[in-house]
Amino acid sequence: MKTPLTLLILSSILLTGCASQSKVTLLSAAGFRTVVPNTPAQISQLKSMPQRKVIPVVKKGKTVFLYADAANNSLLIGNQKQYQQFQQYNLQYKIQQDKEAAAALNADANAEWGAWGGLDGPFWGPCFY
Amino acid sequence: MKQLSLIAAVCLLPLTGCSNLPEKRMELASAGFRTIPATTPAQLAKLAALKSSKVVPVNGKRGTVYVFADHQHKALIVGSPTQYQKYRAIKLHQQKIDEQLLDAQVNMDNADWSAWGPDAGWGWSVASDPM
Repeated sequence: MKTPLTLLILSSILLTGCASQSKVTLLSAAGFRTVVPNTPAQISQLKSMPQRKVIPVVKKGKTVFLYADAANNSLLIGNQKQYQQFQQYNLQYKIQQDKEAAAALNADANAEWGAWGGLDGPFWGPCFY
Repeated sequence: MKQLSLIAAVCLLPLTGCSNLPEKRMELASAGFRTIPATTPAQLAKLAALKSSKVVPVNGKRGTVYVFADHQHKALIVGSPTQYQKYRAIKLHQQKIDEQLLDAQVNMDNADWSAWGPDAGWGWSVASDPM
């Protein structure tokens, strides 16, 4: 069951189009907070991390999830719950995309058959009876 | 040509159940599984001993838990029996959608393009379609 918030998030992602931007939108919507590095050491640390991938790490005995984006000079940080929420949004986003792709393919296939006039059209209609 | 696409689609059908690693993470975390990175040599050794690509039941201190070894992230993804059931439901739902997508692809391949002229369906006129 999709909540209005989820629908809003998914539709805003569909409008943005870009994959990495979509990921950032989903992460932010799930509650990940964005941290901008201030010092040269922080910037260099950000650059040394795997880029644009959500990775789990342990900090002070707790699991946190990091998403480094050096090109945009930002690091997104989330906890276990926020990661689960992010993956739920991700799943719903994928389902929606797959459904839309199937609907588009079906619509195109119907359009092609429709060119023959459909099942009631001239080729399949009264002339066969 | 159409027959080839149909055969390929039918052959791919049983494979739709197999998700790749990012998809697996997505399905498991969506079901409530927790990701626990391995930090000690003992944890890393235990993780290495686990088969990847399979969610397996393990008897823990508090009963059965389901684990998945994420070797790429060097992490164990752990869930309860309830979360495992939810994961199975998500997977089933995903499979249905994948099958619908496959069906739509087959419908599209079987659509009769000849009404659009002799070149339709054989290259440029279809490739230039906005789809």
